[in-house]
Amino acid sequence: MRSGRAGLLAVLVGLVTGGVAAVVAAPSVRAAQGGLDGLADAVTARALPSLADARGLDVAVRVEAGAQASAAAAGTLGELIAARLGKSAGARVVDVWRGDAGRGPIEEGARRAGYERLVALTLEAEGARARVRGAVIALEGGPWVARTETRAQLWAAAPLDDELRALLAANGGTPSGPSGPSGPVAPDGPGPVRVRTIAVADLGEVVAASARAGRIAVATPRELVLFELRGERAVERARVALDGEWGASPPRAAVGAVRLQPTPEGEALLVEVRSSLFVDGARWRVDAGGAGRAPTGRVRGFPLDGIEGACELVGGFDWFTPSGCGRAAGALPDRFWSAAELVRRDGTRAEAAIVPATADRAARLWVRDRGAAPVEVAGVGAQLALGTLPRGEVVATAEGVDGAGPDAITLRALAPGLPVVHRLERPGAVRALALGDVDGDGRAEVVAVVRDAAQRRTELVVIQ
Amino acid sequence: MSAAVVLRAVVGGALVVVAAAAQAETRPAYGGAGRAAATATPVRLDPLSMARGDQELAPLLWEAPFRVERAGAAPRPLLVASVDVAQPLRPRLTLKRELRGCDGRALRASDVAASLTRAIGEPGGWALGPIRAARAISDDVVELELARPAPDLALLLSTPAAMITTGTGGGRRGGSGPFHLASTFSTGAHELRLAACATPAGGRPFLDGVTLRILDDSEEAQAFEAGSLDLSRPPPSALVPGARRPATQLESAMVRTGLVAVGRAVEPSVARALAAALAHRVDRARLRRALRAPARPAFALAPPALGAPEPPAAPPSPRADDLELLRARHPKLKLLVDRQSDEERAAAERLLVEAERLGVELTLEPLDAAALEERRARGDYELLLTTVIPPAPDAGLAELAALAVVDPAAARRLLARAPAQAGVTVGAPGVELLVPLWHRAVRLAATPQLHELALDPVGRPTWADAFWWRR
Repeated sequence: MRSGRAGLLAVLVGLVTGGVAAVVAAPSVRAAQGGLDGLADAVTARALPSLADARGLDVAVRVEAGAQASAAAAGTLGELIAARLGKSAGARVVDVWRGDAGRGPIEEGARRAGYERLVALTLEAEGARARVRGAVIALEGGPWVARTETRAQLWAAAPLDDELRALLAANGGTPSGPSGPSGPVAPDGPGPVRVRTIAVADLGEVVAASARAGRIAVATPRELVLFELRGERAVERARVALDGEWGASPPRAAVGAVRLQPTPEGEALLVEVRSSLFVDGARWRVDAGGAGRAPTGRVRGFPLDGIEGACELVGGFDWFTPSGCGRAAGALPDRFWSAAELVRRDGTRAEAAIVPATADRAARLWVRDRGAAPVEVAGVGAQLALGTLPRGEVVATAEGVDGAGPDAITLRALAPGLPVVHRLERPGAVRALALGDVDGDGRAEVVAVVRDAAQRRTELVVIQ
Repeated sequence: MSAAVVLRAVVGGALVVVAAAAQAETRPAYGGAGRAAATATPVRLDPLSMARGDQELAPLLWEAPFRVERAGAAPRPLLVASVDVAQPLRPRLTLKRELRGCDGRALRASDVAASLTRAIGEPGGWALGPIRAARAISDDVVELELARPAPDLALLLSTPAAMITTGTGGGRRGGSGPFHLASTFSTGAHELRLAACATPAGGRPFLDGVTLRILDDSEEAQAFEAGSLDLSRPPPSALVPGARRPATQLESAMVRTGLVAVGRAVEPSVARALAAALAHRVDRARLRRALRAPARPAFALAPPALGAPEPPAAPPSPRADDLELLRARHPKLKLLVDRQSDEERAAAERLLVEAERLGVELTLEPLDAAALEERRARGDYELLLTTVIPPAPDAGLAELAALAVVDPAAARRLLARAPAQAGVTVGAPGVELLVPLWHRAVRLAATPQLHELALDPVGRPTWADAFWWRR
């Protein structure tokens, strides 16, 4: 199942070269014929494999109008897709579902309306292309369970032909139609993504990273390295060997955490770091020259970037629990490798975590937004970052690429179905992810630490 | 762990490189169990046992204060937080805090001192050579008394002789390693079930357990092909086109030494002549073909793969008078061989031919592991074919381990005098009774979904690092 999903993702890849996003689609499902029919065909072809278990179930299709798309175009596309799925998916019912706008997460609305599968899509236009993105979401409900699982990410694009141009312009070219609950994507849509790759001295087995106020802190099991971005270069401002009392029974694979945060008075930065090799971690004050020479204190627990407070590992294992982070049961998954929380100005929250792999199941991204039922996406790596970029709220993960070595950095919008808004492959393994102001411009970026072990090469990948 | 795990698999008779399903940079998964054939039968379940089966098993059940991860690497402290060498002949080891044995009991300096003291008094503890005594001076500090300054102390404390046992009551030695015995053990048991310990010093194993089955070669091949083993010596069919069960191949360096030892049952006056005659006459290049794993002829006890210098020229020919005496006094000799090892039996049969050329009639006496070890320990044999596992990836210790087959006390004395290095046994009493035959690798076949299963520097499977990846 994983290879199928990853194969689909490969189709969805937005390859970035020289900082400009380019889009590649598989020939077999490309929306080559253009127009809404072409988009509907492409989306249907991609959705059908993940609806293989939907025989006899009720399926909802919901298309929202995104940037530069009209509600009419979204509605028509929904009808076309529903008709195609109705013929092919074997579902009991395939409806275009328009209800519940503004009443919380649409998954909840669809579940309440009795649907068991939701094809949630957004239609938008950008330049000379129209595109659709979204997900197939399984809605499992009942007296004892309310679980949501993303079964497939959907993506299709087509050139703007006359029909599409007319349909999309029908509403004056402004976004309209049902809107998502959070509106996480900026009004101008994701747009081209700027990517900077910055080679640094090989750091070896990186276990965590954090970024804030123009500094990037990277932790290995035995070292903390502090970088400052200057243009297209990363200047190493400090390198500190971690030491302390050895842990008696650390997890077999080293675990680490690092967090940059302002001092209580807000005038400077503190960096806190912890490696599972030692019984505790250390805290340094970051000054203009880098990190201070001596730690300013010890750190208990693991300062996960994006989680307030610290978390303790479960003895002998490499995972955390909600109680180990001072959270109530259910606030986060029962076990997780990494986690992050987002608190909005309006007080609403989103939580994300990586649920550990088991012998028979890949690691999963777990996301809960505004207290709704969690959404899970399988096949991710151990790294995670959650936060708000200028383009909207995103959750960043690492994912494998079929049949080859490289990992991909995947950015998903914090929106229903967690649609992929950007995916970038780099040669090597994504060892750490962080979200923060990487370059000191006051705006947040995603930074990934990518290591090619064979080449003994480490690079920082900054995604804006 | 790399992003895409690349496996070397034996398929269709050739080594091929296959990419596993890609996986993002992630961590190993916990859970599941492994099933393997024990490559040799355990006898005592004691790290001080010199039986090959016990030595294979020891690192799964017990930890030593230090560990050597790979050949040439410095020993890494595992149970020890620091070593105080202010008094070179009385170094003090401070243990990590909150160490626990597999039974959950705190692992204290008294356990370490008791384990080392026991080893000092047993033949199997010869690798502690310069350590005269060990005592706990507090809950977490052990003071050693040395016969010489020991720059090699950490290396010696990484050997099975230094492995820490706890709770010695009742005859069963408690574990400090990644697994503990979950089944009843007795000589002749057909399988051993090991279960993961919760908080061993090296970290909890990813697998919940490992079952080791005691099988002979043919049963082992069938079991692997039938899918009821995840690790075994490679069945012959894995090497032919259209193999029914593709496998990942694990292969060590050629660190194990096969040798023939001349025992006390041979008259001392002719024992040296017999060993010299065998050393000169045996066609080692032909003999090693009996082995399935890669091997090279051995003319010295220390394996070059561990950094020993290449051996000198072939051994000198024995004197004609000595040969005449040998034929007169021992026209018939018996060669003890491990019943479980088809490979060693095949090699032994080749030795029959070689002995015949010397005018000596050799017969084989296959024994089970317990009987073989008992006879070896007593020196009660004429000839013994055995394989030596180095106690650490070190040429000098490997050479002493070979000497310890016939005289552990002599190995201990040499080590008490100076750190071991290749050639340490030259001229030592007892070494003239050893005939090195081959240096061999260990080659095993594993289920491809079992990841990070590797061989340690002396060829033992690293079960504690292995994990399943079935997706």
